[in-house]
Amino acid sequence: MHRVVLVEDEALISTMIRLNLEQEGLAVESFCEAESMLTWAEAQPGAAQLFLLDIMLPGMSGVDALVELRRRGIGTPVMMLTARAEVESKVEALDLGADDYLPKPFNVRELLARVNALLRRAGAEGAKE
Amino acid sequence: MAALPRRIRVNSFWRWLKRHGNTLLFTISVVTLAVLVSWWALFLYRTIKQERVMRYESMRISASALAYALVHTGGSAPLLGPVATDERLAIATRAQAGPHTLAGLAPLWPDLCIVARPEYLQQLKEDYEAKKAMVLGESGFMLIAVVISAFMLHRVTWLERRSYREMRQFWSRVTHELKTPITGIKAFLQTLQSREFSRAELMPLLGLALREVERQEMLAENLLVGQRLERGGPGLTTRVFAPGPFLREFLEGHRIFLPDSNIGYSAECPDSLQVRADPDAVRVILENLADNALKYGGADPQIRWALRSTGGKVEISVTDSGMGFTPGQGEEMFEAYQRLSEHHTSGRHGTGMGLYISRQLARRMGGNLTASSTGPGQGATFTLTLRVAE
Repeated sequence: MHRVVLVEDEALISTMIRLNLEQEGLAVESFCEAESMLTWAEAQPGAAQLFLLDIMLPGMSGVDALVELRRRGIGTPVMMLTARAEVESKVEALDLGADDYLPKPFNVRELLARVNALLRRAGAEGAKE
Repeated sequence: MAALPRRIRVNSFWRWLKRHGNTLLFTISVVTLAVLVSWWALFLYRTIKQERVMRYESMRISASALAYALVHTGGSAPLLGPVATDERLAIATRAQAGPHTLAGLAPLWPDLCIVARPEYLQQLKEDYEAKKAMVLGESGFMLIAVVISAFMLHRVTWLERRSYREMRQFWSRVTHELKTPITGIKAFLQTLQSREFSRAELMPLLGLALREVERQEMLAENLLVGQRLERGGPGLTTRVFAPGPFLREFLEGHRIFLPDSNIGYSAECPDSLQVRADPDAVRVILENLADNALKYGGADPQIRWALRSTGGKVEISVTDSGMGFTPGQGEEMFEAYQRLSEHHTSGRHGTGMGLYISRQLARRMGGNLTASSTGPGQGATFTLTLRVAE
């Protein structure tokens, strides 16, 4: 079973994403802030196949968390979720190593389709290696 | 480190020019203007200096011509003293002449010479000094005017830019605040369409969704009140009511957001005590204070509401167990469109309007809203003061 790590501080959004991902047969690890997610990711290398990071988080931002993940050599696909829809914001996140960027408010079906696409791609690349 | 590709370097230059172009143009204009004023002052100074030399030379030529005429026409020795035909010249003995000799009358009268009249020399000097003072004064005034104008213009531009930046940040925050609750509610409704929930599963989700709707409502209310305040302020309709039951009813409506164990209420005044205020405005203030306490109250917020009366005033205070602030920031957070430093508020929702609006409303009702904290991590207390009804 694929495991998705979700970092989102808004309770309703976090709950809804978790419920929908679980319905798709995925295991979900939810965090309200980035620092505890980084501790978890380091303690369990390779346990997650996808990270969903909100950008506006209390304390460390999602972008900083992304940079930190890549700095620690964690190459797992990352999708950024944010209400900031400016092109600069998207380009910055993708340049820093994000694999996808979904502006809020999103359609749940689109989110699930993108999550599945990233997991498929990660799986195919894993098989190639 | 490898050198950047030329395209990136050119792009960086254009980006830099786009950002600092106006400042660069402004600096160049001011420096050019200052150089022009200095050049103009120097030019005038040299002109008046040259004029003095020319007037002196003209006097010397006149003296030579007069000496030539006197010596070559012969006749009796010229009389000592001012020359009647030239207001600038005088005949003097060699012994009297000193350094001001302009022409000698040798060989006919070797002990006589033509000199400049002292009063004319004095006049020359005074003219020169007056013109020099005028040039120095005018150019100094112009330079000061350039510097002051440049400073004023720079300040106005800086204030304009700061205000533009604040407004951009404000609208970016508002957009974020509008989108975030919609995202949650939209996801909730879409999930409801695709799966069944038991009542037990549904109730907490409804509570969360309702909280998001409340957030939207508060944002809309804050934006409307903020706009009305900027246009001269809403006309408040004050009436007499009891703050105790009012506050308890308000807190009852907010029970869904926090367990009872996290919220405390204490009253040190009787329910019969009444205040004169606008209940709608008080509700807006309480909504903002409650939201603030939830936002900055920490992971497990402990929020204590208290009601007390002191000397003709009623105080409603809310104390949270959250991040607090440094004592110097107690006033900063009440400014329009302002939030405490990004580090302090990073990632927390808010537009920076709530506390500004709340204080303005409190003051328009003859009360006030203040904040205090013993320091970061020590929690904060917000106190709303209202007038007791007479």
